Amino acid sequence: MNNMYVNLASNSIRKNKNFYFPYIASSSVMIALFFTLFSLAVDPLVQGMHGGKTLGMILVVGVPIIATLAILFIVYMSSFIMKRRKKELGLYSVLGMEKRHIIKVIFFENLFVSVVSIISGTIIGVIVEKLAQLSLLKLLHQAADVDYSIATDVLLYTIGLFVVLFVFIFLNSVREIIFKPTLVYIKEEQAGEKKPKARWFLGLIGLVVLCYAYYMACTVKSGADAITRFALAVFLVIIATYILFIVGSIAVLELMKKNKNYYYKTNHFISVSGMTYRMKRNGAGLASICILSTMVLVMISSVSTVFFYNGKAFSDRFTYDFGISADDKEHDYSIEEGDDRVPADNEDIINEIYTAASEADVTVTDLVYYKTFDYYGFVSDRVITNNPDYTSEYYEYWVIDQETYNRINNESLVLKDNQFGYWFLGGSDDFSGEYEIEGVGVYEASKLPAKPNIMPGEYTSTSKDVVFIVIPDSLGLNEFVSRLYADWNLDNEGDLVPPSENESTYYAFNIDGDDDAKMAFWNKYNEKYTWPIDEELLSEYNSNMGYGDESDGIGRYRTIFCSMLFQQVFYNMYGGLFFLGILLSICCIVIAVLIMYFKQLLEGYEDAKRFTIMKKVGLTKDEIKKSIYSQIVMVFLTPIICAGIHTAFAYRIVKSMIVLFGISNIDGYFVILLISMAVFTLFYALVFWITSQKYFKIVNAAENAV
Amino acid sequence: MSMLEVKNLKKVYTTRFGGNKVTALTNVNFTAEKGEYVAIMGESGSGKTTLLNILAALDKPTEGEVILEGQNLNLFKDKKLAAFRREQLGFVFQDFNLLDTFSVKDNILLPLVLAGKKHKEMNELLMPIAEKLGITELLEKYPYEISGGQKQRAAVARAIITNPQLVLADEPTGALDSKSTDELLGLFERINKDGQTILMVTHSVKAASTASRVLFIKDGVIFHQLYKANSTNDEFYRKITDSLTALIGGGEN
Repeated sequence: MNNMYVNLASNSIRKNKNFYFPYIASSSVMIALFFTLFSLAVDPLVQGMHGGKTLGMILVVGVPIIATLAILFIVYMSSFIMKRRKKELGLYSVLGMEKRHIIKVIFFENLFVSVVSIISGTIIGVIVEKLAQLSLLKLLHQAADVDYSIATDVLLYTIGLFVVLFVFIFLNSVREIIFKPTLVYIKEEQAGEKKPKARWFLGLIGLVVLCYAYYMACTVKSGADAITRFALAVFLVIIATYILFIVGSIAVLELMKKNKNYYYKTNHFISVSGMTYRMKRNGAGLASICILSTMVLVMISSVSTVFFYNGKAFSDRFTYDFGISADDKEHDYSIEEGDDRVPADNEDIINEIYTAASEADVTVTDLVYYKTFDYYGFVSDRVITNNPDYTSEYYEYWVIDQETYNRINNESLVLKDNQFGYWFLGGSDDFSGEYEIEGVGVYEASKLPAKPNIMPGEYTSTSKDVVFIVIPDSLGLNEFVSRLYADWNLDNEGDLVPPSENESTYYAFNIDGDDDAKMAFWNKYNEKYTWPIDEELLSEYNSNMGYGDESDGIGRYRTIFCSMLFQQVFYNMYGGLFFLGILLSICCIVIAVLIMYFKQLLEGYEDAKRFTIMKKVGLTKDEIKKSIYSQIVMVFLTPIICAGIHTAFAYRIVKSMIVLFGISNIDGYFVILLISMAVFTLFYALVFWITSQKYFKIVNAAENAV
Repeated sequence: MSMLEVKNLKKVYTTRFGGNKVTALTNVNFTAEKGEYVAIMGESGSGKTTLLNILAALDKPTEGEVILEGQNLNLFKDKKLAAFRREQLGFVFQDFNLLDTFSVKDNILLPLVLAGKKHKEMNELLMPIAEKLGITELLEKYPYEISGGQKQRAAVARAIITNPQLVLADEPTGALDSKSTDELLGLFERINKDGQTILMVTHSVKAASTASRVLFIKDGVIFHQLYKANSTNDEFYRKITDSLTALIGGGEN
């Protein structure tokens, strides 16, 4: 008896293979992507890389996103197919099958779909995961042995999740079969469409929402601003896109219909009413394609920019390969006495650096030392505040005195007592006239002849810009700091707590040669003067973004910074982002392609009917083809054009966010965006062309049958 | 000269996978005069629809010719055929064939739009016909919002709005209930009285009995015809039934 149901189920899958095959294939891809991402995120090999923990954390963020996309997509597809098959199910019940029999047929169908999808999905997933692992390692400039083990726990999670999903889909179909009277099934497909109504008000709201979202995106002032606005802007754009595609398009078409002399022309007549009908049926699908395309464009272009331009950003950022900041041996904490001398053991540190270099057989170049002080604030009403509001745009100030500036830059700058020199690292703004440096006094701004050759060490990329401030020697760094701290750095007893930032001297230098030479120096230095670098220490450096606090055993503490390690961390982070962006993009592309394919299929079946009627009424084949095909092209052009517009308006906000990743050369983003758009458009056209073939096949078959 | 002449029409279909040939029309000859209302009767598979498709120039005959108003349809090119169909012929189908993307009004206007008429002109043509067919109220509705009978009236309006030489009807009552059937047949009679030539394919005796002449087709040959002359619909109905019993029914037994 069960055999019959199995036969019925397999028959109906075969008969509807145009729908089932892509459904199973795309479900497999989703399952594979989910497995790939999940197992990479927890892969011990990835975790074990330098900075692998950061990478893992980024990838883990993607897991729920991809799971949500996969679940929504599979649920959508299954309900779509169920809808298509209502007539068939109705027929079963007319032929005398009871609901429980129909449920059995559905059960076997679902069983087949889920088993095939899950098995092929996990197999593809395992293969892709291995390939991804390899390419990820390559991407991150890391050499490692590939291991061929499979993460069985992740495999089980994946299978579990999708089994639950398919059971849910099955139960949902069962619910529908039980609660809907049989007759409804037969009539449902014939019910046809409601008359398309132009809902002006809603359309207008959509337009307003879209404009507002665009306005938000275009008036972003800083990275912090962009982050706070981004989610809302995206949300509004999505809402507006759906409203405009579903309602707005019909309103516009209805407007065209109102103009009788325009509408009742052969070309316009067929295409306007055809478009109205298509937009009504496909509005949501087209909006989805538009949103997905936009996501792909934004994701691909931004992660590529971050990934490909970070090298450039680093070289802008790190004037020197290495930095050591060391405390004075004879540390004098009594700031009141004023202490602006170079530490006594200055020579010792410099000697250490040269000794380590000669033992490692490398050459030190550009060695400088300086004292500096950094703090945050923003500029408001000619006041350089020391109280940043981190939610808005703020500056990072790096303060040195005139003597230091002249020494490291080899200049002979002379500041008046009431002047300060400044330099905006990112060139984001300019000063002119007098400013009150809050807590310190009023000074006249004077632009420096050149960028100070100091390295803004721990530089938070969320700030709007870095501002170097050079103060006159008559003021001095210690006096500057104590004035700044005077009113807000008191301890419990009300005593002034001396700031420690200016108590250390920073030594910065380059090592001639390639990465190996630099690494050799680094290992030698640490071996001799701190601790030998082992795996554990290295990963500590990595998680501290290249910094290490080390004692040399005789009470001199120093912070050691290696820009290479810093870059390594960022390679991992950016590489991870890039990888995640690519995976999510593939996911979006799969969904968009499937929606497109199903649209073409449905349109084909519907147009086939229309084709024959039009022919009987007296249109030539060419006329029909021309009018219908031009509609199809229009329908599929709209989403990509709108995606282009969205992306264009997103340019500023996305750019501001990319700046947060330390990418200062933003022209690169523009170029990459253009390339992404071009490539994506080509790909889109290709998919359109391939799916069109399916459409033509259906329409032509019907045409020849006349 | 007759308005429509069908001479030695033969149609042979070759099945898709080679060899098997099916003869749909063996040798069909008949003529129709202007203003006539001709019904062609026959059972399923007798070749009715093939004949109609050939008359509508939707299909080409294997042999023979169709001459309408002295023009041989076989010699027309595709583009000219479409124009010809649009201007000279009107169609009424069993399943209405209204386009679901158009309102009733736009469905009716479709042939005029294709002919490139001005909108004002269209309205002038539309209103009297809509009035006559009793569909003025339905014009703004969409096909799925109206009943089968109403759809068929809309289809008739579409068929006659271009004032065609010939209206071809393929089982026009096939999908209608009896009340709508009566209405539609009444409508055919009326437009025929107004001078419209109609050629209807049907296997409904009731439908045929409204015609002025009935042709009987069997196995691809027209083998009998009846004139209505002065008989009423009921009398003609009985005559047709008798003929069918004698000719078709008798042949089968």
